[in-house]
Amino acid sequence: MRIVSALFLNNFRDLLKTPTLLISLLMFPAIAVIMAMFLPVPEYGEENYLEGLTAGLLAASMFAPMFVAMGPINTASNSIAEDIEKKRLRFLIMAGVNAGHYLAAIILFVMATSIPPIIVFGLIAQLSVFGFSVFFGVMLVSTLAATVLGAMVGILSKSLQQAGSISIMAMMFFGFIPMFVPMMDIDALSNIAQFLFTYQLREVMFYELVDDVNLLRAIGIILANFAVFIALFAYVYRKRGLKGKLSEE
Amino acid sequence: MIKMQNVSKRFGDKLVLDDVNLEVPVGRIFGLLGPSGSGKTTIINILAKQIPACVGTSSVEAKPFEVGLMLDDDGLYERISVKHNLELFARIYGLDKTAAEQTLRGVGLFEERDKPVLKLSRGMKQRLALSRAIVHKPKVLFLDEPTANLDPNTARGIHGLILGLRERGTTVFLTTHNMQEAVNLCDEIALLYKGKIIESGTPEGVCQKYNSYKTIPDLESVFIRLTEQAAGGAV
Ligand SMILES: Nc1ncnc2c1ncn2[C@@H]1O[C@H](COP(=O)(O)OP(=O)(O)OP(=O)(O)O)[C@@H](O)[C@H]1O
Ligand SMILES: [Mg+2]
Repeated sequence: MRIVSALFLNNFRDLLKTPTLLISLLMFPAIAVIMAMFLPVPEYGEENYLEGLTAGLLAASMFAPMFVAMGPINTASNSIAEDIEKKRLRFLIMAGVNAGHYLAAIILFVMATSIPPIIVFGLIAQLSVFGFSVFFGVMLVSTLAATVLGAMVGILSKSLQQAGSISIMAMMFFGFIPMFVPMMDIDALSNIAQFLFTYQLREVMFYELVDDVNLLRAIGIILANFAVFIALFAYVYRKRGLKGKLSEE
Repeated sequence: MIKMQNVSKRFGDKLVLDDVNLEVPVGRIFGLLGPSGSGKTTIINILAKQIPACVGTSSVEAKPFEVGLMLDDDGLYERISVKHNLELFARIYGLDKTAAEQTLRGVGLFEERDKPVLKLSRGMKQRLALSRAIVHKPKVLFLDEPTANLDPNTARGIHGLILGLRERGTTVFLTTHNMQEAVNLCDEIALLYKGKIIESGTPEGVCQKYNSYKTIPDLESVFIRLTEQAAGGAV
């Protein structure tokens, strides 16, 4: 506990000095708040009209999935890849830090930095109490899933730069597909998209307005994504580990 | 006690260490000398369990957290301040708040405590890396070229610090290119050449063996003579 909190605090101190990461965490909630004020909502009689749809919900439904795909993946992969690149892990390990402490501190750190944005998205979406609770829950699980994915990217990368480029691909895939599918009518894309946790987050947000959203299915898919990421992470960790990076061989 | 027995190490098909035997008694300062690429850092890495040996055994009589390590890859957090870099480790070791501060004073970095590591000079970074290695008052300390790139005053300050650690019973294993440092600081030395230990003993003993006619111990000429001999013998 002492070790995890020491690492956790250190992650925060580093974040405050890392503008690019800070921006990646603040950008989406900030854009969503601005969009919530200006986004045009289809009116009655217009195409895509949805009763009860607000600009806030529209904005949150666009940017919450993007945030989850971006913030946690980026933060987790960046932190780990930088520690590996700068050869910091060996000193931590010498001091008694083990992989469990290290990863726990990263996960807690990413969760802690993600909760304020999640709350912002929930508030501007103006969901009911039930809707907010479900949204908050699935966002937490999704953030955890994305963090695990980011940690995997971090472990796999040979350098900070490589971690950055892999992260961007993951973020494009999970962040943009759900956003563009509703705009474009491509069956192939929506067939893939519906199995992505980020897409299902959107569905969850529309649950109260749209009749054909199957909440349990959406939650099931999000949990399944989480499970797959954990399995992938476990596989990569077994193969590569954090320790393997120390031996320079 | 630090001990290495019949250790060999290959990187790929390159033999980097060839049957190395070493023994450092508790509370001594041991200096490993050798030209660049002779395998000094590799020996420290094996002793500090950073990499495995291919053949042979090595042992260090200390629990993992009783060991301090300073390498030229300093692994510092550049964006974070000096103080916070050290505090991280002080917290991990469960030390009280004054430990980091005291150590910074010891290495002469207290004035710089709020500077981010990015803004430090090379010598300051080195002192911070050293302070991280000693903040928990380790029983065994490995220092890879602790005074390389330092001005003479700072180097002397570090020598004082290392001697102070020996007073407390710390065993110090260091590498150096600086012969004067080896003579002044070390209780025992060994000369490493192409992965082989070609000579060892006290600095005075080694000097006397090869240039006993000189009154001032001249380790440098011994070093050059021995490495040239070894190079000649190898052909
Ligand atoms: N990870 C590695 N992979 C391959 N070769 C390596 C590796 N680490 C070291 N070597 C090789 O092992 C040899 C010894 O390296 P080492 O770093 O131990 O030398 P050194 O005595 O510390 O040199 P210096 O005084 O320059 O620091 C060198 O030829 C180096 O190229
Ligand atoms: Mg070296």
